Amino acid sequence: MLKLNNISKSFQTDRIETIALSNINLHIEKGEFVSVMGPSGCGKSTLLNIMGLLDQPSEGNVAVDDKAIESYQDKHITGLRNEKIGFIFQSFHLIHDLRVIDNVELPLLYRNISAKERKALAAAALEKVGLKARTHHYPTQLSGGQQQRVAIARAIVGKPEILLADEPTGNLDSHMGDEIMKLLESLHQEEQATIVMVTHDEEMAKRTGRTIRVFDGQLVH
Amino acid sequence: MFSNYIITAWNVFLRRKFFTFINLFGISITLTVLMVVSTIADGYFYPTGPEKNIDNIRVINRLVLTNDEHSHTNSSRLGYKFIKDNISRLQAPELISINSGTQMTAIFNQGRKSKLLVKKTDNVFWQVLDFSFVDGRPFTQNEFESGQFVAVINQRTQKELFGEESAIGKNVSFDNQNFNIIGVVDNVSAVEETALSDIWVPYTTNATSGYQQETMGRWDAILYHSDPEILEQANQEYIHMLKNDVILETPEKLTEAYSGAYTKLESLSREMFYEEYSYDTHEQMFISVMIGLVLLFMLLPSINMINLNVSRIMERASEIGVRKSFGASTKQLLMQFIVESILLTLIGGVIGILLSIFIINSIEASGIIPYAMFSFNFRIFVVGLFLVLIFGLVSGVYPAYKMSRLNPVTALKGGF
Ligand SMILES: Nc1ncnc2c1ncn2[C@@H]1O[C@H](COP(=O)(O)OP(=O)(O)O)[C@@H](O)[C@H]1O
Ligand SMILES: [Mg+2]
Repeated sequence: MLKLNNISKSFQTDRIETIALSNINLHIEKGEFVSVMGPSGCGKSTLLNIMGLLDQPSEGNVAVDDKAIESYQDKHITGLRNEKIGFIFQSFHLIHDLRVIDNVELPLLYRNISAKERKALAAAALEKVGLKARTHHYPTQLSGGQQQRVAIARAIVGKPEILLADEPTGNLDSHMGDEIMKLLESLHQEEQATIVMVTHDEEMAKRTGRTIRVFDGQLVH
Repeated sequence: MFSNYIITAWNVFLRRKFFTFINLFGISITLTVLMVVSTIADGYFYPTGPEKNIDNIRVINRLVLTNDEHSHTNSSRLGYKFIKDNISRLQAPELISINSGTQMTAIFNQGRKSKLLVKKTDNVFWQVLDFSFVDGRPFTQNEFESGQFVAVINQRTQKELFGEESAIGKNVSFDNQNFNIIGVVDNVSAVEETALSDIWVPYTTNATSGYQQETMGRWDAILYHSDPEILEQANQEYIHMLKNDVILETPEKLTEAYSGAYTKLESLSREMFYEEYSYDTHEQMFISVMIGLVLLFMLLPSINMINLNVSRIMERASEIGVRKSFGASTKQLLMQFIVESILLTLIGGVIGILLSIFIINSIEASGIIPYAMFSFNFRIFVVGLFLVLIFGLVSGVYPAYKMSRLNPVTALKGGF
């Protein structure tokens, strides 16, 4: 359902060109739980950003449901970002000015859904991550683990086809990290969610269906 | 979607109280100062009292006389003789009124002393200005010419001297003269300097006639024409007369006269850019300087606000990144920030307008400007609101535009 064809990505800063990814071919099937591993700076985040349509590859193309992305202009890309993909970030990236429930409903704002329905869906997503009681709190009133669960609720509220998690447990202690892992596992098993997760933790990687290893911008087999 | 922008904006304001406060403070203070200044200016340039026919009158109240070498110069209000010898000869005006400047005068009444302004005028004064009489009538040509001791007073004087009783037919005395009150008018706001006084009497009642020999003095002339265009011709005629056939009889042998039949704006401008030996009022320069000052006054808080908004929006780079990651378009983000800016500005605008009304009412009540009544002008309200909106858009939208165009990955990293 998500295909990377010959993807390369380089960054131009000052006079130095950094090649973050080169010649990546990858296919994520529906219902898979894939982990991505590799040393720091090898290009994992860049890979995930390209999968999530947040960044444009320098070469190659991304295909969602067998349809190649034709352009990264707003009118072609925002709908796909909104409906197909749910992103989970290492540092949560919740909006501190908004209450938990308003953070969770955020993806739905960019769809044609009534306020009432948005709130109902957001409440259901919060219940799924076990944070129903925190609906009206602000993010800063929650622990790191709780904040990441809010972020997961936000990622799943719009029922995207794929969840992309960039080191979702990287900022959490091992206990909280394990809770997040369990939550992702249950989403995978019970809701047949497709998940791609970057991790540094071999144990967590082992719990996923497949592990992709990246080294110096290339896939290692 | 739109209601959501407003709700989000509202939440942001409440969560960022300090930012909201500083912004509202800047907007409302700027607007308040603008509104108060422009309302007072509006009251000054567009009077609502006896000078409401401001376009039909020109006041001559300044005269500079000098000799050929400019070694001896007099500058003051006009003397009666100068007006009679020169201004009376003007052809263009339909009416010319001669009146003295006001004089603070002690008035004793039933053992109490009041200090009131007295102005000495002719009967034409009542024709060129548009006084509203609450009781009685102005003095007639006949009463004026025969030097009758009659007086018109304002409501304040009536209250002060007679309480609730009618003043008509009663007497008011000062300077050892006794005047019969024949008319009562509304109080005149102090911004209407030409009409202003508490008591008006015919100058033909003056005890001595020495004033008739003075070239310089404390007199004004008011030119009237039903067609404002012709008043400008009257001014040209007057200046032409001063240049070519002015009649001057002064012991110092002064030969050159500088004066003009100016509009209020021209008089004010002449006061500011005073040039002794010139007929020029530098009106254009005055207007430019005023506009410049207003823009400068608007610019400083604008720059501040832009600064504040830029750093505020930078802080929200990650929010922009998140929203984009979940499908927000540049246009939607821009709209969100525009709604925030406009809403904040409108709230600031409403506060500013309430504050201005309060301040203007306080000025009226305090008596700093005696009898001043400023009408809170709808035109100024609209202009003020418009300015404030421009202000909000300039300060809020440009940084928002820059930020909302960022690519989501860059925005998530903090926008750099
Ligand atoms: N915006 C950028 N500009 C320049 N270089 C970048 C940028 N983003 C990433 N890189 C470089 O690309 C390489 C891969 O980065 P990244 O994908 O973040 O690695 P990882 O997530 O595996 O730690 C690194 O060398 C990094 O410095
Ligand atoms: Mg990374």
